[in-house]
Amino acid sequence: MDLGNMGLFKLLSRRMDWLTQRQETLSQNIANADTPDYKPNDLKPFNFRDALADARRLKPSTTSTTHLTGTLGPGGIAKEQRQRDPYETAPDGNAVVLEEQMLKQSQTSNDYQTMINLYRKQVGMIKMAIRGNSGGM
Amino acid sequence: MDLYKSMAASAAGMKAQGARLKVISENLANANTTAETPGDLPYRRKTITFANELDRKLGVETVKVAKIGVDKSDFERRYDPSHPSADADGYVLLPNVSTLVEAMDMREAQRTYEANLSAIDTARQMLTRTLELLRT
Repeated sequence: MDLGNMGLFKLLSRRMDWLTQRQETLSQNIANADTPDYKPNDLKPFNFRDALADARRLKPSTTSTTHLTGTLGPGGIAKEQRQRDPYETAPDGNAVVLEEQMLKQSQTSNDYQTMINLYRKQVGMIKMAIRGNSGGM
Repeated sequence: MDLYKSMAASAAGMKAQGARLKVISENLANANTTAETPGDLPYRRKTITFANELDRKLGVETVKVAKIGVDKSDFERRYDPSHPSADADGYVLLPNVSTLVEAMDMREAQRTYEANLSAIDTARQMLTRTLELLRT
């Protein structure tokens, strides 16, 4: 059995994927905190409903290694979007606010930890189902 | 792995801030460098600008030093006839470096450097947690 094909695991890993990409985007913003005319980016918010609808959608399965999977990877690439209402823009046109980016990063990190815990919990439950409660969690 | 990309972006940011600090220390070190002979000009303050750059190999937007230029603002003039580089009227040209501005700039560079460092730390934590999944 492939764990990756189970609904919850699929959803969790998609969310983790999204969080990773967000971390990457935020790091780029922080690196460019002093670049003139740089506007910070952020990802389109992760929507559970969309993710679920996407998971239900039928996809052609790849039965041979020579089959092409298309341009999107598993889970797809979350769309980046420019922040529409920058909190503050410096005279040189840079709109990165370090505090804001740091806050978003810690949110991302916390959410990631939550996903990891959920993942672990789910694995524990599967283990419990397999060998009964004698093994414990 | 995406988290490595995130770390690469932060590392580029730290490198850029390091270059900025180098320019600032050059300015500070030469804050009192006057010309040797009366006709010459003293040290000119250097400036640094950054630019956003796409790292094609990693597919991540990093930052680089766009240009190290000079500050074209006027020099300071001080009346000091005894100075070896004083002109006929007794004025000496001093560099257009303001130690206060440089100190503020330095502070800002330090803050951004720290922010990049903590971004690396966050990415590293996320990576470690993912690897810890293997242990369960």
